[in-house]
Amino acid sequence: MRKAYSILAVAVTTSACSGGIAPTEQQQIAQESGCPAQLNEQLSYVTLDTAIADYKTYRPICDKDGYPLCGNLNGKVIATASQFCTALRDKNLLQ
Amino acid sequence: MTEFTLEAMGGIWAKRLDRRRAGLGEIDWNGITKEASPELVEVARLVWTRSAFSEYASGAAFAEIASHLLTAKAPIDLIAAAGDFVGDEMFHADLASRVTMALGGGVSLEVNFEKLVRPPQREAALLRAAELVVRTCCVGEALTVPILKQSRRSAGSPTIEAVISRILRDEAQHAELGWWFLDWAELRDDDRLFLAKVAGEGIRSFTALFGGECARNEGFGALTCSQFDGTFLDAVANDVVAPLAARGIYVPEEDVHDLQAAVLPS
Repeated sequence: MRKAYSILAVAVTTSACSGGIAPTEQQQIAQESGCPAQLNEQLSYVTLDTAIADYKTYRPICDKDGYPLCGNLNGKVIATASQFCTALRDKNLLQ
Repeated sequence: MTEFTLEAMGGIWAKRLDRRRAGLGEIDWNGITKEASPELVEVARLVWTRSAFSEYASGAAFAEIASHLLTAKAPIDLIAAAGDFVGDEMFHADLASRVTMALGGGVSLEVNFEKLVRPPQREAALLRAAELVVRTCCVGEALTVPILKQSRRSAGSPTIEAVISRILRDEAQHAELGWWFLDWAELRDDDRLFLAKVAGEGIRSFTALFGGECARNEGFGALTCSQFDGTFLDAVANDVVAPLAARGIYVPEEDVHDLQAAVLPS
């Protein structure tokens, strides 16, 4: 079965008043969209340069065309899925 | 109600949409957040999430219009344009989504995908098409153009300016379809009376916009109330009421008056 990829997702935030969605719901959405949620959270703790240097680890966050399968984690964000996947496309690291 | 999110299929289908992307290849999506304060980024996430939904809903409206134009045996190039506009709106929804995601992701928005377009009330095919065209093209799209121009002027970001410019390139034609349709359709006096009521209700529906909180900062697609309100009222008078009147469709004064009262409470 072919899977569509997410182009607009609600930001997940650590702020209590942001209107974000609850973690369990977030995980369910992430799983349905093919997003590796844990890896996406891990990405949010590293800088973009670190993520690119270790791009093979974070590669599953992006689809084959280099678009994010995950929404950007917001709040304590350093690197985001969209930044990371765009960087992979720009640097021709999709493979 | 469902939380508003969007998906794309990719592959050959993304490439079809990519044909509309000419001139947008140089956009630095990652640079967006560097161009604004965190406070403005938060406002802009709301503006662009709503914008993505609004474009999606406009796509639904044009799909309905295309279907009703077919039934009304409208000129085939008008029908083709309406069908093509569905693609335009999906492309705009894609652009708005990219901006939103680059800003950190969408805000939570509950929408009803089964009620995106108000069904036309009348029986006759031509009048059903006219009702949809007046509401969507002659009111909705006609008001969008000047607001987008104002948003572009105060965008304060080359990226946002480029995105709004690309959207504007299509929106002017979306409004224009309404005027061409009305100039073609052979309407009776009572049809015009009905369409005036439809336009008045469309204008009145915007009254709800003016009860809310105002954005403190302009830019990134957000407008302050002082910028939005004046632009909007001018657009209602010059881009909706006047061209409708030129076609014998006289919007009830009380609808315009009630909108003005909501915008400028005494």
